[in-house]
Amino acid sequence: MSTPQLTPVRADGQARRTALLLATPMMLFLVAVVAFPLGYGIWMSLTDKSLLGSEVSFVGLGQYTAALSDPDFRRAATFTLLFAIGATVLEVALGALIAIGFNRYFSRHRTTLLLVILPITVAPALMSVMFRLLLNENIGLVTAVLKSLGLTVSLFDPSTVVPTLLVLDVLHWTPFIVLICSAALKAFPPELHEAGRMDGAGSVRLTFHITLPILKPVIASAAFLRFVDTIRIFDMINVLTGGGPGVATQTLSIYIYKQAFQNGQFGLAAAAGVLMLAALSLLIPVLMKGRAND
Amino acid sequence: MTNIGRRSFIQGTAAAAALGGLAACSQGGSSGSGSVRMVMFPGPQGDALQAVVDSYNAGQGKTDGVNVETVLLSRTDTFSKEATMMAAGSADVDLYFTASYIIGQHASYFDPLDDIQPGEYFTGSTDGFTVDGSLMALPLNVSNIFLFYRKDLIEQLLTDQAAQATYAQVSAALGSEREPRDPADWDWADYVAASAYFTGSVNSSSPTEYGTALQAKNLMFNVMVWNNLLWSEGGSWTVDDAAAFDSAEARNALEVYQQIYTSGYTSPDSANAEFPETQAAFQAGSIAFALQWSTAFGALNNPDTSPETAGKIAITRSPGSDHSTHIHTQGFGLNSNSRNKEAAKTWLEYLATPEAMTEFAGAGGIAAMPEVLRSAEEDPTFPEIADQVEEYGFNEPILRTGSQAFTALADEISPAWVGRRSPDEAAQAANAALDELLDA
Repeated sequence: MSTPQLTPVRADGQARRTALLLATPMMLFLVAVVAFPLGYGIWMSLTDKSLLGSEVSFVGLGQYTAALSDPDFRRAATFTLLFAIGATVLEVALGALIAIGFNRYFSRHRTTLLLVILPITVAPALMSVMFRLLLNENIGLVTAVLKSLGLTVSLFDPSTVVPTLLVLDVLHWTPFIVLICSAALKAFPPELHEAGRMDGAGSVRLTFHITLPILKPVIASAAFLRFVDTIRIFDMINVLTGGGPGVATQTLSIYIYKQAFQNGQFGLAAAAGVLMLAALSLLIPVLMKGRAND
Repeated sequence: MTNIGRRSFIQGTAAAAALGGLAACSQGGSSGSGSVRMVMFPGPQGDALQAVVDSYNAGQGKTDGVNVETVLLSRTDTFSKEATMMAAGSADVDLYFTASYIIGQHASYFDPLDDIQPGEYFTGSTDGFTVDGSLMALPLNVSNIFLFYRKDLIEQLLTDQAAQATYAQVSAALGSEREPRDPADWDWADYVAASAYFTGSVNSSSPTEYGTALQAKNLMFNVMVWNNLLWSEGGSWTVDDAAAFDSAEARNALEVYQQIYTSGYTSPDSANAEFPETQAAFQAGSIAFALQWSTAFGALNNPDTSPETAGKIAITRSPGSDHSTHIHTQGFGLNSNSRNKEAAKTWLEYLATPEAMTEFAGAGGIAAMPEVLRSAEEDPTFPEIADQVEEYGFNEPILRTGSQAFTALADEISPAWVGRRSPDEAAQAANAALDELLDA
């Protein structure tokens, strides 16, 4: 009896060592690219590290206090949160409906689907430059078309700039939701719809009472990803408005970038970054709980 | 790892270390010869400097035993990338690219260049790189701001009596009747009146949709453009090293922008405009004049890129009581962590010669030497730039927190430019921000 018990223990130990050996390169990689920068960032947030002086002093939570008491930080956090909520809601709603419509009417048109998801293959910075050209009032194609229709709209006027940015983000990232939902719909059992139809349900009821509830976990995951990604938004807004007029469209990422690379305040920028990370980390248990319930 | 494998690994590591040591030795050490790595800004200046570098490496560099290598980072993020290198104490490059508006921040990472003769640079350029009495960077390129205008449209206004009558009506509606004047003699009231006259919604016979294009995006470079108004009316950021932004001059300068924006004499999209948008407005024939960077002239006068404006664009001094123009100088600072300081200085000594700068200007760079610009035939604007920089050029105060000051001012005053904040409130907020930075 003892031999059969000992053999698996040795095998487990060996397997564990082998697993550890095989995992070592990845663990070292993670330490180098995740743990070290994170630890270094947290350490920096506890110092007054700045380009303005070579001496670095430990300041405890001073940088966190400075960030939280900075009106620009609070304004940027509020704008970022509202922008992320607005963009995520619009993208998820539109993306899910487009995916359902696509699945129902164009499921065999793969090329069309590829065209629809094309925007997400373009780098955000490049997309922003394209938008900047397309929307330029003097040389932009979009403004030229609008003018030819007799519509004079100033897309970057202070009163329209936020809706403009929101629409551009929706145009860029709704295809991501379409892609995720389309993939989920491919695995959707057609019998459910057939049963629903036999019970007299129309397209709208099928969508809202069968398709969407089944897609809910997928939509929740996609929404989470988009929300986190939008919270980190930098490229598009920095290229198009630089956070302005004033600081009206300044996001947390732009605030951090300005503090670090324009103002040379690495300690303050690191503290703002850690605060942002901490806020986002609070969302992870929510997602995990949601997944567990699903 | 087997014994053989471990031995091979140790041997390999030792060989790599030896090669690394040899490579480090070959980089020059403390002698005046070796390789020099310098960061350069990509774009026209970078291309022009590359011509000088290539020429040096093929000629004088061989005699000096110095080979220069340029490192191009990013046109939009050169200073950000340099900031991380400086913060890390990197010795990867010997010469950092810098500019007069950020030298206060960079200076503590540079060695003074007191050994190098400043040559025949613009006084404004060497002043712009002087920190605590020491030259902290070598000038290369100078930028300033002109009033760009459509000479065909202005000539028509100055010669046509009907146009002059309309101009008088438009200016009277603004508060005081004026006659049109040559743009070289404009004050800011002329600028506003002409903006109104050339705006279609004010003057239905205007040949352009808007009079001007403000660069009102929240951007430090746009603060530099606006500073022309502030300085030309006698204002400044500081007086006797104390913040002086809460002044009548600053309020007046903010009011000029705000009036133009809120009255619709510039496009509403100016709220997010900078250099390229102003170029596009000229190229599309949408505006009659604007403050614009000197480097814009070539493209606007090129019939291939700007058929609407080629041959019709003129430049003159900025409006205002004393026609002040912001200048900033770009150049190179010697990395205090460099391992090739002597070689780098040898190269900088060469770069400071009129011959090297003439070659730079010949390749299209706006050399920071007045006589070089005056004798350059490649660009008709070069002599004008030399005159304007010498006569009207000013540097903003060199602050250790200079870059922060520009950023803070852009945050505080750009809302006032577009009517989202009162000039009074913006001037006070900007003054408070400056005050805090001066204490930092």
